[in-house]
Order: sequence, then C-alpha cells, then structure tokens
Amino acid sequence: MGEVRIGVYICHCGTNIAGVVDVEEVRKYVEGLPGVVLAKTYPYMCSDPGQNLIKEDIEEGLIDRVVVAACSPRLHEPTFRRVLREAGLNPYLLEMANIREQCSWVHMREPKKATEKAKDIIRMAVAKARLLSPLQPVEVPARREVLVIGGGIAGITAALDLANAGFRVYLVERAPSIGGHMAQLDKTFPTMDCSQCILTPRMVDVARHPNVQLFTNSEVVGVEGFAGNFKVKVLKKPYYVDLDKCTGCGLCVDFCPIEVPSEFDVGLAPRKAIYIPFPQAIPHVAVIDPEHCLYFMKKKCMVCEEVCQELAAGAVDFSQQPEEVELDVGAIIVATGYDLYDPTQDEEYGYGRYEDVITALQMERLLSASGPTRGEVVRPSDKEKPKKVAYVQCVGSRSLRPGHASYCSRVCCMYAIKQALQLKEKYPDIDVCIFYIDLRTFGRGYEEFYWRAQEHGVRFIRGKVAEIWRSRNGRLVVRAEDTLTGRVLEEEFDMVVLSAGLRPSKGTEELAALLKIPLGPDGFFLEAHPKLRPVDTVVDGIFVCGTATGPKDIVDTVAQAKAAASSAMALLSRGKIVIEPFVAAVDEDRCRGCGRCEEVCEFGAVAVEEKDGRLVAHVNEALCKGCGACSVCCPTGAIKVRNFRPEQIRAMVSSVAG
Amino acid sequence: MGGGMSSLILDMREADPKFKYRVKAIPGAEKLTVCFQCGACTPDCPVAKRTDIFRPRRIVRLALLGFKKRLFSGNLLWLCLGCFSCMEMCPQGVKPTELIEALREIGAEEGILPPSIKDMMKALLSTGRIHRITKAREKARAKMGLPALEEPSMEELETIFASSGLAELVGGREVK
Amino acid sequence: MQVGLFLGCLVPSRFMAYELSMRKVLELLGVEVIDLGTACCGSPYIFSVDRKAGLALAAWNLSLAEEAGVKTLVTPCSGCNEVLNRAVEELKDLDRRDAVNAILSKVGRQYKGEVAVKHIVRFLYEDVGLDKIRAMVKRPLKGLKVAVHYGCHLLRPSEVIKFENPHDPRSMDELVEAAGAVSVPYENKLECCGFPAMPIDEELAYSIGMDKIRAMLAAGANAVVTACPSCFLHFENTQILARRKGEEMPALPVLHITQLLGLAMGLGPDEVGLRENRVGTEGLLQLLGA
Repeated sequence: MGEVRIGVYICHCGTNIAGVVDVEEVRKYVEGLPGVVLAKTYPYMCSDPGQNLIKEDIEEGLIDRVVVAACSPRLHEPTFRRVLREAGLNPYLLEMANIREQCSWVHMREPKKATEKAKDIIRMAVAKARLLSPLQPVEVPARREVLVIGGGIAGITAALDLANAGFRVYLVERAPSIGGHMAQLDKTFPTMDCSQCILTPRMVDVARHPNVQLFTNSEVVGVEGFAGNFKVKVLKKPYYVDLDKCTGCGLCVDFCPIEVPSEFDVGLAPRKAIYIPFPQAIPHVAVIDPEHCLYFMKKKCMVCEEVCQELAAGAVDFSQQPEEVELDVGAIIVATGYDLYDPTQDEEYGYGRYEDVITALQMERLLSASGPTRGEVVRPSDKEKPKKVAYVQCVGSRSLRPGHASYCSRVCCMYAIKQALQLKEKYPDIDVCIFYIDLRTFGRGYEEFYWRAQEHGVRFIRGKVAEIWRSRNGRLVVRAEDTLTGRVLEEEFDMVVLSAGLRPSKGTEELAALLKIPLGPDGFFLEAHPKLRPVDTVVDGIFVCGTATGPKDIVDTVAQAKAAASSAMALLSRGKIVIEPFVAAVDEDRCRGCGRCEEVCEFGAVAVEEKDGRLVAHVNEALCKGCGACSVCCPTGAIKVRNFRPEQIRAMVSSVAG
Repeated sequence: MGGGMSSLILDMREADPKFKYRVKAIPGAEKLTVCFQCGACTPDCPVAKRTDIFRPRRIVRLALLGFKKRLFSGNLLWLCLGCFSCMEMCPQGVKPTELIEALREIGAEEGILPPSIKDMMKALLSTGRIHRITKAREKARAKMGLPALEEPSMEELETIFASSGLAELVGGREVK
Repeated sequence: MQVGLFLGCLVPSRFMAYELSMRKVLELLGVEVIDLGTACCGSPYIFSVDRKAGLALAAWNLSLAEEAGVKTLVTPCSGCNEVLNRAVEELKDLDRRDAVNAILSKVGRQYKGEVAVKHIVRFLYEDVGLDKIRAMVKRPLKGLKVAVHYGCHLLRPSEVIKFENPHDPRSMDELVEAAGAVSVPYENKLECCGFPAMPIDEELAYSIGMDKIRAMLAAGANAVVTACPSCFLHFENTQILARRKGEEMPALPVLHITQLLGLAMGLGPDEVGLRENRVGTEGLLQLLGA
C-alpha cells in the first residue's frame, strides 16, 4: 500500500477558533505527527481560496489523505468531500476534526488548555486518516409514486405539483370529501378571495388528474420500508354507497329520518345519517355515517336504499366492507392539517352554556353564502341579527393554564379582523369590537388590512377578556380591562365570537408512531430543522407541510406544500437514491451466519440469508443507520461499519489514551 | 427635568431596574418578568373594579420597572384582598397575589406595615393566636357545651418564631 | 372515619356556633374528631409579613397532627384552609422541607408531609358524600332560597387546593340542595365578600359587601350560607352598618354551612348556636316553622 501522505488544514474560522486556540502552535505540532507531510492554516478553509489550498496540494501529488480541522462536519463535510472529488481523490479519504464546537467555542476562557485539546483532537483525526479507505456511495432504486396524507389545501397543492411533474400520487383523505378546513371558510385574508372559489378548481383538478388516485374516507394504517421504497397499508372505509353509481342527486338525504349536528357546519345545522358533506364535495356522493344510521344501529329503516333503487341510481349498498390496500411509494408527504381548539372547558367564557357565544369557525359558516343561514349572520338563540359583536382573542393560546397551548396560533388576529370587516360590509351599522392582547398582522398586506378595518370603524380594545356572562336582562356581558386607559370595562353584546386557537389534528400521535417521526413539545409534527429544513422530517423520504407542523396561514401552507412536493421530486427524480456508505458491510469470508447481528439490529437492517449454500449475513444498506451494534457483537469481526471500523476507532483512542 | 407640567412624565431615574431581581428571589414572585400586560388579571379583581388606583396589572408593571416609591405609597399594596381571582386568569403564571405578598414583605422589612396587621402579629407572637381568647370567651364556650381549648405550647412557638425575623418586623411582642 | 380538627383562632373564640354545629353534624355523620393543641395558622397575612415564619408555623401545626396519627386535618375556616394548603404544597419541595425541619427539630418535632388538609365543605362533599348526608336529613329546608357564597379560599388558588373548578363550583350548592333547600344563582356569585379590606379601607370593604348582598336579594334569596367565619362576619356587619346608615332592605340571615346542614338534620336552633347569629334569625325561624 505504501505510506500515506496526510495533509492537515487548520482553519482559523476568523476569530472563532483562532481567538482561543493558538493555531500556529497547533500547526507546528501537527507537522511532526507520523504520516503528516504538510500542515497549513488559513483564515476560512470553507472559502474558495481555502478550498483551493487543498485542491492544489492534491493535484500536485503532495498528499493523498486530507484532515480538515475546523467546524462541525455537519456544516462543511460535504464541501470538503466535493473538493477531494474535484481534485481527483476519493471523497471518503477525508477526516474532519471539530476544533470549534467541541473545542474553541466551549473553552473560551481557557486558551492554553483549548490549544492542547485541539492538538489531541487533530492527533486522533490523523490516526484515523492513516486507516481511511476509498469508498463508494450506495445507490438504492427509488419508486416514482408519492403518498400524500391529507386532502386539504396543503395535500392538494403538493399532489398537483407532483402529478404535473409526472409523478404518480396517492392522495389519502380521512373525511368523505377532500377540501379540509379551507372548504369551510367564507373568505380568505388579506385579499378577501372567496375561499371556495380558489379551492374548488384545485379540488377538481386533483380529482381529475390522470396521475392522481384519490382515496377518500380512508386512513393510513401501516407503514414499512425506507426512502424510495415504502410499503403503505391504507384502510378504505365504506361509504355504503357505490361511488360509480351515485350521481349525488341527494334524494336519499331528503328521506333519511335521522338528524345529527353537522361537522361541516360545526354544529350550527343538522345533517342526516346519509349525507353529502357539502355542495362542492369531491367526490360528490352520499355517504352513510354508521354510528347514527338506524340500519346499523337497530337493523331498521333502509329508506335511502329503497328510494335510490326506485327513483334514482340504486347506489346505496349496505353490504360494503372496509377494504385494505397496499401501496408502494417512494416518498410520503404528511399534510394532515389542524383542529380548532374547543373552548368548552373555559367556563369563564360560557361556550356551550350560552348559545350566542360561538367560535370563529362557526362564524365562518354563518358568513358563508352556502352556510346554514345562507350568509345571514344571526344569533343562534333567536335568529335575530346582532347589532353588537365582540371578538375575544387568544382563546386557548398563549397561555400556560391547564388545557391551553403556550404558543400563539398565528392566524387568529387576521381572521378576526377579516370577519369584522365582513360583518361591517354586510351590515354597515353593526358594532364590532375586538378584545386583544397584541395584534399580529405580520404578512404581506396584513398591516394594511388592519388599517382598513380601523378605517371601517372596527373597535379594538387592548385587554384579555376575563369573563362573559348573561345579565338579568338576557344580554351577554363582556368584562375586560382596557389596559390602554387603565379602566375595567363591562359591555353588553348580542354575540361573542371566540378566536379559538389551532391544535394538532386528531390522530397526529398515532400517525407519528406509524411513521416513526417525532412530534414537537407543542404536539405538532417536528421538522428536521426549523429554519433550514422546514418540510423535511428526520426520516429520509418523509416530508411534512402545512398546519401539520404548526399554525400558519394559507400563504405559508401553500408555499410549504410546494416545497414538500419539490423535495420529494428531488429525492425521487433520478429513479435512485444515493446514500452515504457509512453503513455496515459484511466480509462474507469471515461471516459464519451465527445471526447475532440480526438479533441485535433495532432497524431490521441485517438478516442472515442463504448464499451459495452457506448462511451469510446480508445488510440492507438503505435501512442501516450505521449504529455499530452488530459490529460490537460479531464474534469473528465479519461485519463492520464502513469508516467506523473497530481498528479505526482503536487507533483514535490509542492516539490520545496511550 | 423639573416640576410643573413635566411632573406627569415618568422619570426613569426614579426606577430601580435591579429591584425586580430582589422581588424575583422571593418564592411565589418568580414569574413577574414574563408578564406581557394582557390585563386578564384585572377585570375579575374586586378592588380594581371599584378604585382608580389599584390594578394588579399595574402593580406587576411598577414592580418590573422598579418604581419603589410608587409601589409603597399609601396603602396601595394592602388594598389587595388576597382573593386569588387574578391568579386564576393569568395566562403566563405570574401570580399577582403572591407577588403582592412578596412586595409587602419587602415593605415590612423597611418598616411599612399597617398598624392593624402589626397588632395581629404581635398577638400571634405572645399568645400563638392573632385574636386572643379571653377568659370570658372560655366561659362562653363552656356554656355552649364546647370542649375547653388546649393552649398551644408557647415555649415551642417562641423557638419557632425566633428562627424568623417576625419579632423584629413588628417591633417586638405585644406588651400585655 | 376519624379526622383531626384545626379550628384556627376566629371560630373557637368568636364564631362558636360554627364550631358547635360542625361538631354536632360530624357526630351525626359518625365521624370521630380529634382535638389538637394547634395554634393560629398565622392568617393569610403571615405570608405578607414573614414568609419563613408562616411556613415554620404551618409545619409546626401540621407536625402536631402527624404526631397524633391524624391523616386528614379538617378546618371550618377558609383562611386556615388556604394558608395550610399553600404550606403543604410548598413543603413538597424537599429542600424547603429540610430547612423548615431544621427549625422544628429545635423543639423536637419533624414535619413528614403525611397529613392532608381539607375544609369541612370539601370533607363533607368528598369523604362523607352527598348520599350519606341526604340520608340524615330529617327536616328538608323547603322554603329556603339560599344564596351560596363560596368565598375565596375554599377553592383558590386552584392550582394548590385542587378542589373544584373555581369558575364553576358545585359542592356547596349540592350540599344546600341535599338539605332540601334551593340554591339561587346571582350576579358575581364567585366574587370576594370584601372583608380583607376592612383594616385598610372600610368604605371599600363595605361597598363590596353591599354589592353582594344586593345581588343576592335581587335574585330572590332569603338566606346566605358561608364557609368562612370572616365572610360570615362581613355579611352580617355589612347589613348592620347598612341599616345604621338608613338603608331600607330586607334582612338576609347568614348561616354557617354546618348550621344549615345541622338544621336540616333535625338539630334545634340552640344546638346549632343560632343565638350567635345577629341578622334576620326570626325570619329564618319562621321560614323553617320552628
């Protein structure tokens, strides 16, 4: 093999390293280490000239192993590997020594000791560098199908982008229709676009797209596999209606005798046990709710089936069974949306006790022309038009009290102002007062939107509402402190709207467990890095977008959905996935097929298989995380993690421990 | 900055920015620095509804800014009824009632204590009760058929009280 | 059932009817009481003067209960309820407990954190139970429209006392109903009575008390029930003061909760110490047909 020629490059990193560590002293020391033929320092190794230092030395044949002593490899290891590759050297003949995060940054007040420690760290890296071998990245074939979980605006956007790019998409939605919460909204801020008008064209597009297969009334119940090759089990819950035959005429709905509160209208209006979720539902078919249908509860009725058989398409089918399908996909995008906080537990607000205290989502249905009151905003109690409406902000948000969320739900200031403006437009004489702690109108056009509301005479009082009660004359009274004048005020209103916050949608914990992705402390899915990787999760191939990672408006939701689709495309577009080779590898000559590695592997990445009449361990490189547990328990030293072989580790330890 | 018109301006030279750390060190008052002045504490306060000067929200603010003179002026801090209504509403866990107790303690250290409270503490120090139980009362108890009250051990209580600064704060025990 | 009694200062000296009716009701319900040589709790004011003294005093009181083998300490006074429970909560922290025990050891005592403190209302509601109480009712208090005043320290601070939802409590209302009376809803039911303002600003205390009385009368109440000697005192005194100032209003008799329960259980007016009540007792007796 011949002697290796190691080049060591020590970065000053401005004053980050050089301000604490005496880099020249370290350089002199390193020069004398066995195997090191040159040692240089430079202010910023990651800069172009810094990179060129290495490149030139390789091209001139001076070195064939590189040690870069600088920041954490998490930042620039790929940079330097690229330098080696461009200079014609195998990129895995590089070892990084972290003398910043693990040295200069944590020992800022002890420069002498830090300098000694830097020498130790580099000595370890050099010991390893002597034993580095050239490696090749691993390629795994990847499928071109993508699973999108959630059929709201986020899921629909991601699905459309992927489908238009030629990828096949399976869109799984748990409700009987796609559309999500955006379908319940009347107008969207700050443009005052009609929500249905901008949503439904996309709903239609995604349903008709040849590259999209829609699974509505369905849930993901099993996930196995790895990036490029996931196996997903989807449970299709029965509609009890034949989707091919049903024309959505609605006759069955007219005849059904059972009424329950409508989820779409948030309890303000009833729906039947057989129902079409909303006029623009897709698929536009009836669905039976087995928990309230008389047939399923008591084996009676069946009027819908009769009526449909006699007068319509004969589409009702009580015999339908749930069906499980298995899908093979290359990537998964989680777009499961949010639930609205239920303020029933906040006794002081009287939600649930007083009919005229409602949530903003309920007000959205009242404002909507296709809502239960055809767009007339009336009090639920007596159907009269309210003359005075109060908005209570931060309900269930920004609070440490039990059952509340500590975070700000981000959209409530804007939606309250939007609804206030809508009320003023419909009823010029109405008095709307928003009780707030702060007004968060941060986005493009948002501050101007707030200004517009003030111009129209919407009142704003800075003070968190403490109590709502019904006075003896039957009117609702709101009590708050007007902190800006320092006076406690009590005011009568006809209606109170609670700006309830956003919560992780129901089923988030279960889905996270299935996908093996973590949740943040606020209960939403956790992104890989809040700033640099907002749509990735820690699991390769699983992406997340929209309100599934936390409260956000439609602007950010759509941007994230597009980002997630684009990330999935980047992952799958070449039909294969390239992964770092730092996974376990089996020396088949030494392997006796004892199976201890298979027992100890937590990721199911190694299995003993028969090969040419012998039992030999085989590593699934895409599943292997390189943890090394197999290597520890292997009695013959057959299985080792590349670049972290026992002899490499031992050399590093000996170099400092003697 | 002189008097006259400009005396309505809050003179920040009167503020002691280190005061909040002294207050924060007292158990119960630790969270005063996270108050974001939402005002949820004030509407349920029976005193805030009926006076001009007392607002739990404002007291937290004054403590944060360190306006000791304003805080300890008059009977402001002692207007608090100790009803805890504010604490039920605070979204940040600030505990205004316990903050006011802490401020009163600091005031007591500097000799500010309403006389009636002082009297109660003096009685406590000498008899183990804030309201003494006279012979007449003991007779009335017996007449009602109630058992005689066991007197608490003053010997033990004196040792207990001696471990605190209570006696110094109220100017010694009550002289009978 | 066996409980220790923590009477405090006000009840045994000034509101003996509360103590009397409480003892009698507990006896009727088969609960054995153990008297202890406890001192004052320090009153809620102790935490405003010297916190260290307050904690040490509470621990001393509680150690007496522990020594007597008491697991539940019952008190009729909400003020004591609040002070002792706050001390129990704070002394769950072992460092603070060690510091307090260092003081207690000077008199040969230790606080182990093994005794629970409950207000008599909570004890009756949770430990005895409404069914048992209902079974003992011999004279349902029909005709009594009671304004229930929870006061401040039976329920709050809720994160320490953890009894009921402070915005929607039911215990006292249900006890009153179990006695056969009706509990009337009234405005600002959960507001403080105003008593603590007395040593500082009498006018303020009076105006808070009057607002409550007026709200109760407006709702049609003909009696008030309290769970705290200070609230009791304040509602009586407010009415007496109002009459002196020339206010014309019907007298609203004030009852300690155990007086009300005792009467329902068939005890006579003297057995619940009704002579101690100074406002509207004739009207009350008429209502009860006694």
